Order: sequence, then structure tokens, then C-alpha cells
Amino acid sequence: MQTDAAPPTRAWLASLVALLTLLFGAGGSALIGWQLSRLGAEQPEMPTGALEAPALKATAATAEARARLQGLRDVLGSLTEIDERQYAALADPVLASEPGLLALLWLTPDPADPTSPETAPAIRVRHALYGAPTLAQGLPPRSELLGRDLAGESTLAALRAGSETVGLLDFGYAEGHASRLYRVARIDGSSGHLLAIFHLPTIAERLLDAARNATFALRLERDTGEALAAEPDAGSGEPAARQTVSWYGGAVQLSLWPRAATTTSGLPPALPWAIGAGGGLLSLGLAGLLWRMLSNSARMAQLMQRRTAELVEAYDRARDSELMAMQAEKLSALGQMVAGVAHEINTPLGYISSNLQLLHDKLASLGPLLDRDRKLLETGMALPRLTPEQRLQWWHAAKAQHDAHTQLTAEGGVADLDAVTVESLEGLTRLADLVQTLKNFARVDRAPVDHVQLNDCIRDTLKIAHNVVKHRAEVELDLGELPELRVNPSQINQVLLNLVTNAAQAIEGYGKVRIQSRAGEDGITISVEDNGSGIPAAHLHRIFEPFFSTKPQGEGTGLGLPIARKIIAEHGGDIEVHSTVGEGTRFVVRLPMLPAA
Amino acid sequence: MPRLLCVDDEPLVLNALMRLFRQHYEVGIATSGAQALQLMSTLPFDVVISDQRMPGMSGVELLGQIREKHPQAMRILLTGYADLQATLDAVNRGEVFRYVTKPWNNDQLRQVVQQAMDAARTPPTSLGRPTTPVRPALSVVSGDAAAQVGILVLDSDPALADMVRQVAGQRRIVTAATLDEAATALETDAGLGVLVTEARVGRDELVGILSALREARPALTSIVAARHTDAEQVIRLINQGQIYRYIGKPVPADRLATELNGAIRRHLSLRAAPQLTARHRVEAPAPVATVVAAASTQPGGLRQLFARVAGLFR
Repeated sequence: MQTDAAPPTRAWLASLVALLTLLFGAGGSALIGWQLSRLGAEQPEMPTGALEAPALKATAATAEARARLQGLRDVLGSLTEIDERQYAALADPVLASEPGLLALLWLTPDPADPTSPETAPAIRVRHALYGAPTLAQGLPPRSELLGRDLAGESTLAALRAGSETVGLLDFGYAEGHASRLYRVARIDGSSGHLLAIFHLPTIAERLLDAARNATFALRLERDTGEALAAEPDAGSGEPAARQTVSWYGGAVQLSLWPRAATTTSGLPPALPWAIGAGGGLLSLGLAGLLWRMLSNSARMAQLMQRRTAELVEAYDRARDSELMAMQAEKLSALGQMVAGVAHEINTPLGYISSNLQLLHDKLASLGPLLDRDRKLLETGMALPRLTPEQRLQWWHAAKAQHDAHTQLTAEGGVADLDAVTVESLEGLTRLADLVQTLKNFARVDRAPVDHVQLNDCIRDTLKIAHNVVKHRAEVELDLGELPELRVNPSQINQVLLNLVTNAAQAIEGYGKVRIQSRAGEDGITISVEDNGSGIPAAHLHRIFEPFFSTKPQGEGTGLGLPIARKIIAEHGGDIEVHSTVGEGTRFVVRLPMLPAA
Repeated sequence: MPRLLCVDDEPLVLNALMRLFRQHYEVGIATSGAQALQLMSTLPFDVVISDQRMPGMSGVELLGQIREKHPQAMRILLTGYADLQATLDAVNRGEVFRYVTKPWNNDQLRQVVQQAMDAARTPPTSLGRPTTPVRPALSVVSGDAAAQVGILVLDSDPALADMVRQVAGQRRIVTAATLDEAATALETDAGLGVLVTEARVGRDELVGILSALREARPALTSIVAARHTDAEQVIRLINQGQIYRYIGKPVPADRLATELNGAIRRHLSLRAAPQLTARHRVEAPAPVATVVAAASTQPGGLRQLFARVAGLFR
């Protein structure tokens, strides 16, 4: 049944719509919230020169140390001769001021070293001063360095080229990260070179600290791109800017990335979440509402379907019980008819049967009588040849026969037998007539609707109703000339039978039933009148009500008049009743000239 | 010569009846109840046969009037159809001797009329006054003999006994729920004169028993109170049981009182003049008659009689 299929589909649909609404609602809100947050972030309040600021700061951080180093060089270069103690006194404060500074070496050319003009004079380490953590960093001990000629090929070349990287390969510290951790800066003077060895990571940290700001995340890199120091926020991918930081004569790259937090936007950070959550809740509510509406409509549709089915069922039941009631009424009417008809049939059967029994009995005695007659006559033919005794015998026999015949005559004789057969045949005719009347009344094998002379209907009905009526009332017929009318004759007969039977039953004792028929301009009028007990006014308007009956329980169905009215109405006519208690009742049936519907 | 009156609105029926009976009886004919009554007022008739459905007065109406006006005439109903009410009236109002249906068997009808004629010959001196339903319920049959008459109520449902007690509580009332109990009661108590019974007790229909009782206890007057009224059953009870009354349950109290009084009166008159029981002789079905005849020779008591009769119908 369809009532079962629809709701699951609708429930599915409802759930799907709800889910989609929820997803899109929540997602959309989150998206809006995110976009709002991004809106703040995309327009940071950047002061002018914000991009250059970190590099400048970093550079500025080492400016002082650089200045001191240069100052030291100037002082050392102005002195013709210094000793260890003097060197230490001069170099120490500088070392102390810069935490990343590991060692300061003073190098001068060796005048005593003869070199060809193609080659540079040896540059010998005259003085070396280490900072405190020097040894831990893995530099060679001072003793090794002092007097050492750093002007190896690479070293010299590097010094001469001005490269800040002095090949520490000379020191034999090529492996490990030692070479990478150190930077050597050459601070040239007029007569000597000041070599400063720096610990890169420390320097990088210092630079980063100095450059740290709220707008950008920073990363210090070598030229090779290798990171020296970085903030955690510094992301991958393309930086917003790359600045050069110059420090002790060299340079490192400072990359800048904008920080993720829209701390510079005016919206509170929780707002996107709030919007997302709010949107989610709203869409959840909306989804719930939609789901409810859809499932409600599904339920209502199911309910309506069920109600409709119930209504149809109730209608079917009502129609069935109406049909059954009409059937019961027909059977009841039939029962009444059968009662009358049974008597009508049994009465002729009674005398036909009795007569034939008598006939049989009579023939039983007639047969032998005729035999004896024959014998007597045969003997009588020979009368002239008989002896007197024989003649006397014959006479006695003849007398006996004569007596028998007299007896027969006394009993009625053959004439009576003739009457017996004639009356029996008449009875059979009556029976045949009765069957024909029944057929006419019920219109068996005839067209249901036909042009009919209604007076015939009245007469046929009376024949059938004869037995019900005859011992209660005298029937008076007042039939006018009627044109033929197109009706359903068996139905009209049913109506007339009901009215006539009612009329007879209304009479207490013995009374009169009068049936009148007249043709008018617009139709035919038939009235059935009785002088019976009449119908009280209180009941008068109820007699056409189904199942209303004033008969005792079990008698009649209470449907005769309602069905009669229905039949007449279907013919386009109507039934009226007039009644006075104690005087009688008259039913008037009007049938229009129009053809039956 | 005995006189027979035939009443039927169909003349050919009268012709047939005339042919049947004119050799043995003086036959009078009438085509209506009114005509019949008129004839009877001029001539005494021993037996009246009447149809039911006639114009004017119906058959049972006529027979009811004849019962009142000419109680000595035996009444027979001969009809092609009578509805249930008419059949009940035939018993209760007409007190008919037989109910014969059309078409009839000549020999059977001859026998019925002969039986009726024999009964009619009984002197009608102590017939007693017939009762009518309109008599007020409070009238009580007076006399010592009347007071002694006991009532036997036979029904598996105690409601009937309750109703009888309610109406005739001053009398001796014996109740029985089975045939056995009823037989025992009848054997032991000779004073029981009226039997009030249901038409069926257990599995047994009472027709055979009532028929046997006609022979065994001819003065016993029976009232049948039936839950399911059935015309065929009533006809059998008339012809084979000659019951006094047949009433549908539930029995109205005043009706019961009236009929009990009438039954007591009938019982008393039958006891006083036993020859009157001929007027209520029955056409017992052959097996019952055999059993009853056998029982009269073997004194086995009513219980065995009832058992045997009931056994015939099971």
C-alpha cells in the first residue's frame, strides 16, 4: 500500500535536507567568521618603514662594538711597539663588551721576512687575546697561534682579498661545525690587521633580539640560505621582505614574515568562533525545524491517507449495510408475498388432490363394476339358449348390478365424476394463472424499464396481495384512464404491494381499502386509502425514516416506506401521506410524465 | 345423523369436502364466518371444519367465537397457510382439535373428522366455562378441589418456575429440570394437574412426551412456554399433544395467571368427567402409540415410558 512507502521516503528527504542545512549553515557561518577575521589581518596598521626597521635595528645593535673594534685598531696601529700586557689591557675591554667575540688577534707583517715582491710578506700573529669561553669553543691554544704565520696561501689570499673568511682550514679545524660557527672579521688598519673571531650563533641571537618586533617574524640566514637563527613564527615560503644586515664588516640576510595573529585588527579573536558557533546553532535549529515540518507533513499525509481509507471503508460498510437492509426488506416483502401465495396455491391443490383421490377410489370400484357389466352382457347374449335356472341366476346377477348402479348414481354417478374432473382442471387453470401473475408481478425475464399501463400494475399487485387483504378489508378500485408511462414495473409493483399491505394491516377488524388512479397534466396520481386506525401526527413525519416502525419487534423491517419513497423519487415523482387517527390514512403517489431517469 | 359444517371462501373446496363426507354425515357449507355462525345458530353442528384466510372473519376468529357460543362443537382448522399468530390463536383462542394443512389426504381427513365426531358425541354437560385472555388476572379458581391441584414446572431454566411461583405461589409447585425428574414427580404426586413446560428440555422435544401423557395422564393439562416460537412445532403440539395453551417466553405475569387458572379449571372438569378426555385425543405418531400401548401392559412407570418415548426422537 502506498501509505507505507511514502513516509520513509519523506523521512529520508527530511533528514537529508536537515543535514545539508546544518552543514551549509555551520560552514557558511564559519566562513563568514573566518573572512571577518582575515579582514582584520589583511589590513595591518603598518607604520612607514616597518619593513626596514628590523634590519636597521640589528645593524644598530652591533654598531657600538664595531666602533670599539675600529678604535682598538686605530690605537694599535698608532703604536710602534706594544707588549703583551699593553695589548691585553687594550683588547680586553673590547672582548668583554661583545659576548660573541671569541678572540682578538693583532697581525703585522714581519719586516725580517724577506719575500719576493710577488709574494706578500708573512703576516705573523704578534698578539692574541681570547675571550673566556674560547677554549670551550675549540680554538687552538694561544701558544700555537702566536708567531704563526697566518699568511698561508688561502689565508693570505683571503686577507688580501678582503674576505672576511679566513680559512680556518689552516688551523686544522676543518671538520665539524667549528668552521661554520666561526667567523673571522678582519679589521684593517694602516700597519696591521686586527682579526676578530666571532661565535656566529651568539652573534645571530644578538642580532635577532635586537631586530625583534611585533609585526614580523624574523629569520637570519647566510647568503647560502642556511638559517643562523629564527623565530618560531617565521614561516616557510616566500618572506614578505629580505633585508641585509651588515655587521662586523660582513652581512647576513634577515627575512621577514608577517605574524599570523590579527592582533592589529579591531575584532576580538573569539568573534569568528562565536559567529561560526552561532551560525551552526542557527542552522541546527533551522534544520530541526525543517525536519519537523517535513516529517510532520509526511505524518499528516499518512494520517490523511489513513483517514481517507477509513472513510472509504466506512462508506463501503454503510453501503453494504444499506444493500443488506434493502435485501432484507425485499426478503421480508417476499415473505409476505409467499404467505399469501402459499395459500393461493394450496387451496386449488387441496381440492384437486382430494378430487383425484376420490376419482381414484371411484375408479377402483368402477373398474370391477364395468367388468361385471361386461360379463353380464356377455352372458345375456346367450340368454335364449339358457335354461330357466340359468336365466334366474342371470336375473339375480343383473339385479345386483342394477343395485350397484343405483348406488353409484346415489353417490353422484358419472355426472359427479365429470364434475370432479372439470373442477380439478379449473383448479389447474387457477394455478397456471397464479404463476403468470407472479411472473407479471416480479417482471421475470422482462425489460426492467418499459412503457407500462399502471392500472395493470395495480391489478397485478392486488392479485398477489389478495390473500393478505381479503379477510381484513374490502377492496374498492377506482381506476381512471391512464396513458402508458415509462417506469420500472417490478419496482412500482413493490411500492404498491407495500402500500396495500400497510393499508390492510392498519385496519382493525374489517374495513375498506380504496385504490384510485387518475391522469393529470403533468403526470399520474395513484392513491391508496384505508379506513384503519390512522397514524398519529407525532409519527407522521417519521414513517419514511429507515427502520422506523410501529409494528411489534420482529415484524417488518421498517424499510418498506423509505424504499418506496426512494423508488418513486428515482422515477422523478413523490409520495405524500395524509392521516387522521381513528379515521384512516391516504398515501398519494405522483409520477411525472417525463421519462424515468 | 352427525352434522359437519364446512367453511371456506373457495366453493370448489366446499365441493370437494362435500363429496368426501356427504355419505356419512349431514354436510352444511358456508363461504364466510358470518354465514357459518348464522347457520350454527339455527342448527346444531357436531364438527366444524374451517379455512383460515377468508374475507371478513378469519378462520381462527370464527372458531374462537364458536368455542364461546357453541362449545360442544369440535373445531378443525383446514388451511393452505396460516401465519404464526394465526396458528397460536388456533390453539389459544380456538382450542382447535386438529390443524390440517391443504392439500390434505382424504383418508386422513376422514379419520380426523370421525375422531372429532366420536368426541363430539360426548355429553357436553360438564365442560366448564371457557376462559378469555381479557379476564382479570386476580381471579382465582375457588373450591377445595381447586386448591389441591398442584403445578409441575418442567424446564432446565429456573426462570419459568420462578415466574410460576410468583404468580401462583399459594399452590403446590413442583419443579423438574429433566424428563426423569418430571416422570418421578408425576408418579409420586397424584395431585399434579397442570404441567407448565418448555417445548424443549435438554435435547428432547416435548411433543412425543405430551402425546404419551395424553394417554397416560389424560386429565393433565399442559401449557407450553417456548423461547423460540415455531409454527410447525405448534401444529404438532396441537395434533399430537392437544396442549391447552402455547405462549412465547418471556411470559407476562398476568397472562400466565389467567392461563393457569384456565388450565386448572380444565383439569378439574376432565377429572370430574373423564369421558371428556375423548375430546382431546391425539394423533400420536405411530412409534409413540406403540410405546404407549406397550407401556400400558408393562407397568414400568412413567420414567421408563418417558425414556422410551424420548428415545424414539433422539
